[in-house]
Amino acid sequence: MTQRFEQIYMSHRDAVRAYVRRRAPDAVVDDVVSETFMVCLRKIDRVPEEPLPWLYRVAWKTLANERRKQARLTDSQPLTVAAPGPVGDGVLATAFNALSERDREVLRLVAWEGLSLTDAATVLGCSGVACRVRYHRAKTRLASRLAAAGSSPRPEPKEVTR
Amino acid sequence: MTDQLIARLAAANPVPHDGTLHFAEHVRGHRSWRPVVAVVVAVAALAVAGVAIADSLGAFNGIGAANHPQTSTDKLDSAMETLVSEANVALASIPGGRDGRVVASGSRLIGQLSSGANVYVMPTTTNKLCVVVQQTPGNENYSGIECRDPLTQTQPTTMESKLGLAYGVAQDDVASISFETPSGQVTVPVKSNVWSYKGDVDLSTATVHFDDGSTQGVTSP
Repeated sequence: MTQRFEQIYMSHRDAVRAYVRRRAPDAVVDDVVSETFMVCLRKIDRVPEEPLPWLYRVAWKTLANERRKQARLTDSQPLTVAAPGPVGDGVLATAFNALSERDREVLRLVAWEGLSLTDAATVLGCSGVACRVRYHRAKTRLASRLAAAGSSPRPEPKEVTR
Repeated sequence: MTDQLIARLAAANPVPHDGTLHFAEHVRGHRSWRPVVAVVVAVAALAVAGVAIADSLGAFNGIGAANHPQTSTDKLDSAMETLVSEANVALASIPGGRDGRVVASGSRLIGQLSSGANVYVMPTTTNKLCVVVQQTPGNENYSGIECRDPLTQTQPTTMESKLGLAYGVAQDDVASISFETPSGQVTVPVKSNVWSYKGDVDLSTATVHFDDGSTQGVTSP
């Protein structure tokens, strides 16, 4: 039991941590990563052979629980700040942040985690076909928002003056 | 066009794959001091009243069958002590360490599964609740240790299922648990804070039936 857990933990802790950091403020990252691997330990006999998409799904659920927990803390100053968005490309960030969370998540999984649509479907808990449809619609909506902002999908190269 | 779009989004990844987690600006949480103060006040009041506070206070919240001084029947056998040691090795490797380690010396025998295996509860050093199923001949596949937050009114039972066996530890006021199986909904009674069911089940959600006739939906933590 512990041997497989340790193997999973050593192989995937960085990826899971990066996944959480792309979606949550630093203040909750350690808690969410810790809880994700606790679930992994508890359910070690059910972790699939390729564990990463499964771990991402657990982390995603843990994050959702964390948000609900924070929402209940009405007598304290909320911990939550905006989750990180795209960096270094203001037009893209504005367009991306205007999408629904549903659209953003499928795009993050493909562009930031580098998952295939099959693995993204595992994380999202939907069928491969549904995930493919969701992905293409999200891309279309992002492209439309960029076009409306007068930006092409690839940023124009900056003019160099000598 | 759209591949360029994904490439552009990938280039704007706030936590790139080279391991340089450079985006994250440290954000300190502003947690309320009130819960800390409340705990300190409660502990001080109990101490003044001369009430002995057990090691497991909190971890065994609502579990009457565990609310007694440890006796010889509560103690773990060597196989289970090994299981707890392995769990502690794994817990120690988790960053943050907020789950502490399982305190085997705090074990209490509370009941049995339908398979006959004993069910023990024990606290962790951070007052989590651990449910441990005894390893017995023919029962090896079901044995294990599960640790989580203590029971509360919103989560009045633990829920585990493995290899065709579902079980959990419930609070004193829980009379029975209902959940879905391939052949329809099943309700099992809670005896001595323990319930169990042999068969395939869907424990993503369940219904808790309280002694007073009220019910509450719960989801697998």
